[in-house]
Amino acid sequence: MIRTFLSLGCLLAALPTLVSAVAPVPAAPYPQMGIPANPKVAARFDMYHDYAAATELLQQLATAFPDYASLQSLGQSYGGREMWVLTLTDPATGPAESKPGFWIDGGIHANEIQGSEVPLYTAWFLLESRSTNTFVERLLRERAFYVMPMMSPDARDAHFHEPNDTHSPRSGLRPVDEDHDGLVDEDGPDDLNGDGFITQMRAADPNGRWKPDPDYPQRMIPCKPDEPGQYAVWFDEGYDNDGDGLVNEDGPGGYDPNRNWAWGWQPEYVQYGAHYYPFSIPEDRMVADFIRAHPNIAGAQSYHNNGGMILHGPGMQEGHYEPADSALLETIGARGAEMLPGYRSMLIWRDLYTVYGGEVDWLYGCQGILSLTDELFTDYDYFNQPDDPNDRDGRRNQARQFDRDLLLGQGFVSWQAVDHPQYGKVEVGGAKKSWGRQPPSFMLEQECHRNMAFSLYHADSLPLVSVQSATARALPGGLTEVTAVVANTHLAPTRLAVDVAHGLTRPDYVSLTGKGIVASAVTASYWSSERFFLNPVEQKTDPRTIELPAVPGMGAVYCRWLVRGKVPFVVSVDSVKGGRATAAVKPLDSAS
Amino acid sequence: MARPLPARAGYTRGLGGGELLQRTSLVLLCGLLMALPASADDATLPGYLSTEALAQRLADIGASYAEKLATTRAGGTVWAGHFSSPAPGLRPALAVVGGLGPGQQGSAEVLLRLAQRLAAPDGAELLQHADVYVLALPSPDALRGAATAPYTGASVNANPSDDDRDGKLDEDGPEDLDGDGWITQLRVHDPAGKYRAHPLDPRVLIPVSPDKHESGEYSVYTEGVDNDHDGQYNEDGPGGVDFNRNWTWNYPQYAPGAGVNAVSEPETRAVADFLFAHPEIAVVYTLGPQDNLAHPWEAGNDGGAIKTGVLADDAPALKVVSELYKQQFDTAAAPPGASGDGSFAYWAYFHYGRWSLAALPWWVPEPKKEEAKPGEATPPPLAALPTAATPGQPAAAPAKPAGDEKDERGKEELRWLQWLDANHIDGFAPWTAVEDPDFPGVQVEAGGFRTLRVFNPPAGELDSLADKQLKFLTAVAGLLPQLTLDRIKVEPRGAGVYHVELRLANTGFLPTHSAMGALAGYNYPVQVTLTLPAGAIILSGRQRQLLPPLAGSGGSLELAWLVQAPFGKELHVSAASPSVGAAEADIQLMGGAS
Repeated sequence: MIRTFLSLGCLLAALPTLVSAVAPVPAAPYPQMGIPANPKVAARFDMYHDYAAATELLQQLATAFPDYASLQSLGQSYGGREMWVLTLTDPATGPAESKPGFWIDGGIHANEIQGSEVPLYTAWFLLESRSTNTFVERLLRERAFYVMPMMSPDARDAHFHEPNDTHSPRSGLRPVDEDHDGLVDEDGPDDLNGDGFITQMRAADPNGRWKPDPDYPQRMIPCKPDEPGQYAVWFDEGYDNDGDGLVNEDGPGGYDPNRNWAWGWQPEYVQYGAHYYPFSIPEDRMVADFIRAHPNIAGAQSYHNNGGMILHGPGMQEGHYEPADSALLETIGARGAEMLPGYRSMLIWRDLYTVYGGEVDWLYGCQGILSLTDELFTDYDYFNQPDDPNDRDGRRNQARQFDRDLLLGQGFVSWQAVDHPQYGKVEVGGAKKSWGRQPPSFMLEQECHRNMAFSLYHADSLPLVSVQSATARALPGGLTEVTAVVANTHLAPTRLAVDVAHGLTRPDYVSLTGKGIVASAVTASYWSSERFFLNPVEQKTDPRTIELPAVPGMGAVYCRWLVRGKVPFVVSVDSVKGGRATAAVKPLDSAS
Repeated sequence: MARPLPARAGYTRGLGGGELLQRTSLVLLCGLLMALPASADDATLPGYLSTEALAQRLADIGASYAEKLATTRAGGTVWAGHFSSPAPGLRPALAVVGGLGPGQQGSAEVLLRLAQRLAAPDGAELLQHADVYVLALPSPDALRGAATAPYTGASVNANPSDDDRDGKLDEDGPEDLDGDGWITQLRVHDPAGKYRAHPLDPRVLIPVSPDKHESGEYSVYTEGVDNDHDGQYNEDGPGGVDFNRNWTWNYPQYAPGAGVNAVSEPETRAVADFLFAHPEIAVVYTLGPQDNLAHPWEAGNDGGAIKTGVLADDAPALKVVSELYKQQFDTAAAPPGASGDGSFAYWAYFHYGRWSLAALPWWVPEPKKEEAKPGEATPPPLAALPTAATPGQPAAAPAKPAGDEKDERGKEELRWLQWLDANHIDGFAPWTAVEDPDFPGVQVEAGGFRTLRVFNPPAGELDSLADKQLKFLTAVAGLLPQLTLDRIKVEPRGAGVYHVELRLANTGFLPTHSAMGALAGYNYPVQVTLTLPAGAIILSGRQRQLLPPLAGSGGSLELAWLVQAPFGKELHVSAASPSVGAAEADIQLMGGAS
């Protein structure tokens, strides 16, 4: 159930504005490039937003730009948080649902926290820059943006405010009995030293096979095969909470929200985290229901971390993408690899790993959406050097060197002795939850901006129909021949090949209307992919409206009606994902 | 023995008399039928209950059939029955599901009767072994739709769908061109057609064989016109999603009737949620189009990482269950089951990870000895049909019978006709000339099987079918795993230390979990818990542990702990899994007192 939150949201958001009268944002003293110089809503992207801060920013944007932004909640998460979606468009050119839509989401894996910052930045940047940037202004006139920064808001707050590591929680927080012992979430990690981080545990042990890295002593590395050991290491801080002899075997949640989508879904034994069946996770189902109810969404970007990847499906070798669609995704991905230093365009199952039931595949395969996933932050960011993907140790060393030289050692918790209820005296230490997969503050802004820019390129590549020309020519016998050229001057077709192959959305409609244009007045109509109508396709049902499989990207379709009657006529195009356009028909003799 | 069905106005051939009704009168007639007060009887199957009456009978069972699972998009309600015995303890359960596919009416009626028996003393023996959940009507809208004229035989819910994926919903449904109230088939005379009349009975159409020197006689369509002029006939009728094509195993994405995605319908989701919420379910038994009881699954290629064939370790047990089934049901004429893609029964084994048993609710039996063989009986008069009389068309019964022994074409349909004729069941609409605007000037006939009457048993057989199902399920329940804890050895080691050892055995026939169940991972393994008296500690061994599956017929393992405890105290050991049951043992710590 989608609950419109617009009016309530505006009202609620307006209250603090009136009461505390948000301090005016000081004008920038210099016409800098990059972030909006004089924003209406103050926002910082050298810091991360928790659920409350992100909610406040979204509400402030909806309040400050009531004509261009509307905020709604798709429902409440398991933990009672709102599933916010901010819709952006310029209403002067029609309502959002009449325009090709671009979906942006982030944070479905909530520990991947900058995945939520890029959508927030994008919404803020688009609204604040519209009046000064003609590209942004055009995009908002031509497109609708649906921005969902927090796909898993409970787990986002858990990552911010509860002890975790950089990898947790990837799951949402619906309890799952992961070890099938009849108890749920009964034995997760424990913050033994109370510092807010789940790090590692070590104990001095001559029979252990670990030692401190001589160059970066915070880090534990395996001993060489012929080298005496120094420490035993356990990788997740915690103890056996439930007395079953196992440590941390059933922590919060226990599923992967990005393996619960309905295209190519496979169950838990094939795909870890699949949960019970497609959309058995209600948060995912809310999003799927929203996207289904907005078939105008033609493109999508989901933000994850990390690795510097621009990913396209299929997620599994046996999955099928139409070749023409794969080529489009590769074209867009290649541009992204230029815009995002250190990023590569990759095919998921071949270049990363196999994923069943991923969101990116559902968007494509069930909804016909040109869908990409960015894995934010890459080792390249440390020293602007490509890493050797085969040298994991070298990659880790880059991170350690960066911590030592640029973070000045901030990324690690020093080893500290604690009493462990089962292991006795141990030491706790290691990387903080905020270091490893997330950029530090001074790199976050750049990551947000570059990835937004790539998404705007992606959004601009979506189809957009126009009636390039519509002319009438008199034929003998009182007939008029009307010819319209329906063009799409953008990269993507109005319907992807998968859409045409499986009828995911209806065909595009090109209609001839005018006084006296009843069905019987149109003798015949047909369309052709080339201007000479060498292989015309006749419209068999009601010939007033020609049904087109698609208008190709950077191309056109030629439509013709034979009509008993005379101008004025109007030609209208109505494409689910390609927008709408209208033109008056001009008689050829008076066209010049 | 099947009884002849009483002829009743309103649904027999007498309705239209085989004549082509004008569209207007047909509409009038439909209007009249709808205006009649709702009957407690199903309009298509004499002696069957209407959907509402069936739901009422289930409700009449009382508190045992009163758990509401879902409200469908069309407002129908899905209920579950739960039958239990007052005996205490952890007990496994069987889940029995019907109301699916072309035999949905028969299976729903049989499960109503099964539920009634379980609520009565008849069910006591079964309930001693296991609880039983009954879902007789998981897709009530599909059953109601099938009983709404004209009768299509479909089993889809009322969720409007774009079956042909052209962007329009339900825009080209069938029409009852011959006015008999049923949607059957159209055969269009067509020398380029892919069908021809069976040489032994021209009512039956068989595909033209590419190997034989045969010419086509007919093109065959479902009965109706091409409403949307797209060149396809009746490709997108009213509704809907088939409950039994909406499950995740080999889900037929994009196929008609499968839904927008697996588990997309409220009723499918509710049944999945219900089953996942009941870890005690050990066996799922489905009466529907799929079958592994008349034709047990053969172990073979299991499909690699994604399992598509029964696992070799599970196949022998399923064979034994099949033998129990065959003790109750004569399966000589049982047709092979339908494809499992998207089906509930295959999901129950491959994804839900339970023993999944599947059978058709009924099938047309082998002819009795005294009944005529195909071709020997004189078919109903066909003189009115133009087939044989049309110049240039092959005669209905050519001199050279095309039906050699090996030719299987039409064999099943011939058997159906023979059974319908012998039992005077009005299950075949004779081919009747109709006018069809899609084929001007071409001879078009409507006719063919009223499939509901071929896939569902005569009402008179429902009681005995339910009796047999109860016997079969009682036998299945007798195969369930049974845990015992025995061979307890307590060895004092001094200083209050005891070595405690005992054996956990499965004395039932089935293993504690199927191999597929263990792999699927949704089952609860057997958990062994050691409860200590005050002042006792475990020196080695785990207080709680989860065990791998125990084989059936005596599969066992040894459990051992080293504990330190005050002399004379008692330890308690339990081994339990919701879908298996529990065994308990008290162990007295004696000897070696210091």
